[in-house]
Amino acid sequence: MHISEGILPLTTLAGGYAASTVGVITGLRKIRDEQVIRTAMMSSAFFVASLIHIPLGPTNIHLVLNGFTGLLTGWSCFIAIGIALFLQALLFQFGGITTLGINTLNMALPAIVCFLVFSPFLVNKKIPVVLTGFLSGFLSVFLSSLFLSLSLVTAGNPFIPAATLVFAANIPLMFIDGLITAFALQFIDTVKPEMLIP
Amino acid sequence: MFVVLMLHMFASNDAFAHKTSLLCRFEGTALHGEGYFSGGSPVKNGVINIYDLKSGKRLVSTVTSDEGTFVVSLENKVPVKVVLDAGQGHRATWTWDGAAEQAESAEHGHTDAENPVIAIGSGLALIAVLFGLLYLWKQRHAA
Repeated sequence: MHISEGILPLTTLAGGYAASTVGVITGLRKIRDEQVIRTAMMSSAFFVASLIHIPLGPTNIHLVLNGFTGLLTGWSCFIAIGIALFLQALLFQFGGITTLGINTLNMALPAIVCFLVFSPFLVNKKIPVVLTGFLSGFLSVFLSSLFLSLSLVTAGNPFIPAATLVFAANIPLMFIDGLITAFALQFIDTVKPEMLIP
Repeated sequence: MFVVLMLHMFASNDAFAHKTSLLCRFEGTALHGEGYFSGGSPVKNGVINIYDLKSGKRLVSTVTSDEGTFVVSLENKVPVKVVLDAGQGHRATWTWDGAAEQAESAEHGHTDAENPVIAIGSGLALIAVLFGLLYLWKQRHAA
């Protein structure tokens, strides 16, 4: 799910940084004092979850949990995901510093979409929490994979097979992330439901 | 968070053993290469970037075939650094400095941290520090 250095053209990298900067600034403006600890906790979970690799054929996939992060942090997810990706690039060379902007955008934008679409259902409970969680986890990984593939396509025709493979390899992860997000949200709804209120 | 951390502790041995290697050779000005994982399976559709070793300029990019191989034709046989990105942080490099034939020996690079537990602990501590600073900044801004 991380794009490494030296692949994408400058325009894509610059666009990713510009859009992510807007997201981070919005997050900094909207974050409330009581949300800081929750955002730090979700940043930590995102940082660690991405390190759990599951071998799948010639490649391997890892948990993302960006939908879960988006539902619990709202616009602050740009801060949580940006910091986690920065540290992954620094400590594990996952992704890179030049691709930090586009990687943040590819993972945080779907998180925001899930927050805007699904967080009302966590309050009004018109859809069961477990289903909201599954749909959120599924959609967030689906969108992240799509954005990742589109980013690779901007590098030129030789990268189209890689973009297709990346998207296909992440299809099982959409279901896995959906299930984990569903169980996690159900657990939170049982023990501390006020956490689900944006 | 605790569950996720525990999952990583148990899964990390397998994950970090999933190493990537790259072997290359020149035939005239054509550079042939092959990428494979530690289990022997080929790196399919891995991204290959070839750089001029002296200037650092990227000469050409391509992707590996279903067999994990690639061939590129360079204008001249110049010292190069070949970088294979197999995704998910798996990367291997191969360099040829042009000095002697034996310099073609493969240089296997791997980007996983030497001690993942220490790296994870450092990352979590840095997250705590950064959000602590954010909290202080918010407090000062509100005052």
